[in-house]
Amino acid sequence: MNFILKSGLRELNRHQMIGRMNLILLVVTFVSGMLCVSTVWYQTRYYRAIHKLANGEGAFILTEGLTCEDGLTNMKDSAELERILQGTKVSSFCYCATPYVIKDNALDYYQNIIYDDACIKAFIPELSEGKWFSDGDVDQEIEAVVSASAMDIHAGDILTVIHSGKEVGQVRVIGVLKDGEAVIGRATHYDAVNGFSYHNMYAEYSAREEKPTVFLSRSNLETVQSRTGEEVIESELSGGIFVQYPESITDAKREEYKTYLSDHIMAGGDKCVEFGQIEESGKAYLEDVLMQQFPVWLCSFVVTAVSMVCIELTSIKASLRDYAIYSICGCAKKSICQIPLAEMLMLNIAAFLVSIVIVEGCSWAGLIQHKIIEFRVPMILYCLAVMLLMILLASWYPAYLWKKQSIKEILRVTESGEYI
Amino acid sequence: MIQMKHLCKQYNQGKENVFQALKDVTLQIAETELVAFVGKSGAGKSTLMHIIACMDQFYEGEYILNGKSVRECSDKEIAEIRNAAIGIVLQNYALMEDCTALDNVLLPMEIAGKLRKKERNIRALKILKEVDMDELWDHEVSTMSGGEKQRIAIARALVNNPQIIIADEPTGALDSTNSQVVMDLLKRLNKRGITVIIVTHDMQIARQCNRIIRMKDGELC
Repeated sequence: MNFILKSGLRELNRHQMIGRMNLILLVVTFVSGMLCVSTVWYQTRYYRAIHKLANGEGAFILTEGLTCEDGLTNMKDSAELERILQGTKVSSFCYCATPYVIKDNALDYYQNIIYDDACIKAFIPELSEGKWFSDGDVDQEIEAVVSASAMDIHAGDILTVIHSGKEVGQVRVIGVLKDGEAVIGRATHYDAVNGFSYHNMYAEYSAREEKPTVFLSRSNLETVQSRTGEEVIESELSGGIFVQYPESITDAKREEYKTYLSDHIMAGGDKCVEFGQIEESGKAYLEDVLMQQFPVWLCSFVVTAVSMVCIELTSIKASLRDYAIYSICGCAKKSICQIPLAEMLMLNIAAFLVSIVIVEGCSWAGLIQHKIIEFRVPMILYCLAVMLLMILLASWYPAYLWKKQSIKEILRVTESGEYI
Repeated sequence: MIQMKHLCKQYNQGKENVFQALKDVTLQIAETELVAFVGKSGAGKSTLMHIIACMDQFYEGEYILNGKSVRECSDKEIAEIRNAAIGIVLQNYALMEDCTALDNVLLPMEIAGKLRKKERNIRALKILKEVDMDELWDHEVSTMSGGEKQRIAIARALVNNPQIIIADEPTGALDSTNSQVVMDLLKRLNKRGITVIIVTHDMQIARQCNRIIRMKDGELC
């Protein structure tokens, strides 16, 4: 094995110019593929979360509030809507603003997003510290996750809620979102042409923002507030609401529910969209994303593969002569066939490492969005697949020629200048 | 040591231009012999040499080396024979031109993988000294003369202590002075107990050997 690796390295060293060209081509393929795989992986992550919430038949409502029967007050939570629309399952992410004092800063209003349990479980964002909301009732204190911001809040910090100059409660920060992370909530962008899609339900939060957004769990909030008897954070059912119809819903009931929802949404700008339409738009969007990335990657892959094979063919004569010498010195045929494999493996590993440095360097320099590059299983599988393919493509011909011809013939041809 | 029985070799078998390179060759070579195969071009000397050196396994007949039939050996065993039992020297040297003399001589030991790096280097330098090439150990082979290259090739063939050295036209590309230097070296090795088989068309070289085997048209004369 040592001899095979050493010979592979010797071959790389000998054909340095060729090696550099191959390295550049491989790096281009790896980098374009990494971007493609990462982007698609991230998008499918966002898609999968919404798919869990908007599964089957139902409607998604984006609203400033749903009015009660009296027409004067607004619904408070998902349970209230479930009572009216019998058999439905309702989950929501609701917006409200609360006056907090954070660290030593002055009292100010901060945006809250309050999640139902289904939303909390559907999507777990990436955090720079702390943890996301856990399962089970937490009744000791109100927990929050905050977005990254210029206020430098950390897990463990306390946010104090003040109403009319009086402290009414405290919220403990249990986690902080990663800079640039997107979470469900603040669905404001809406493409009227392509329709409402899963990616419209996410908003990104940057550390450059002055104020953080505070994410809360409705079940945790209600548990603590009912224990203390104090309403620390006031909220209504406003924001994004997923209304999942029962499986056995009739056409008449479906129409009834749709009409009810349309009639009770508050503002003219509110939206009511079928789950089916979200699913369709989502798939179309994913396809778009893939179609933007895939051709670039495919081109680079094909060019790299063809170029590498051509480049290897130009250096084959010198390589075959070396193999003949190794054979004369007592190297087995099978071992010699492994030398071009070893050479290609080392080249591919070098290209992979260079690609990581380039991608991470660009992320760090802000040239590409950091969140789209993550080394997870899909990325690693992609890189391994490309490596395997390139190794086989570039090394099969030397191995094939080697097996086909005798040592004597190879030495004769390589030293006479004849074409193999 | 070497026994060949009814050895036959054909090129382009099954084609119109089939050529019988060896016809029913039977011979024995004992240990410590210094043997020359002579004959004109196309007599079958190199073909026979390649079979003896285990570089060619496509032949009919039997080839027994040190009591074992080579035909029954696996590819790995044959490679080990070429590595440890036989040293091969070719007319065009078959050296890695862009490597140093030392790197070339180290090659068989690296393939064998038995000694440590330090031990390999010591042994290689010792062998280079034997062939009077120790001062050029770190020079690239491409910078050397024909005679020097051939001595490096001999050193490489010696490095794993083979029992047999097979030299195919070792002086073919050399002038008379260098030819004699190489021949003297081979004779010295033979005196140490190594069986030396030389293939040559040069009778002056052949006459310096203990035994001359003539070949013509693929047969022994």
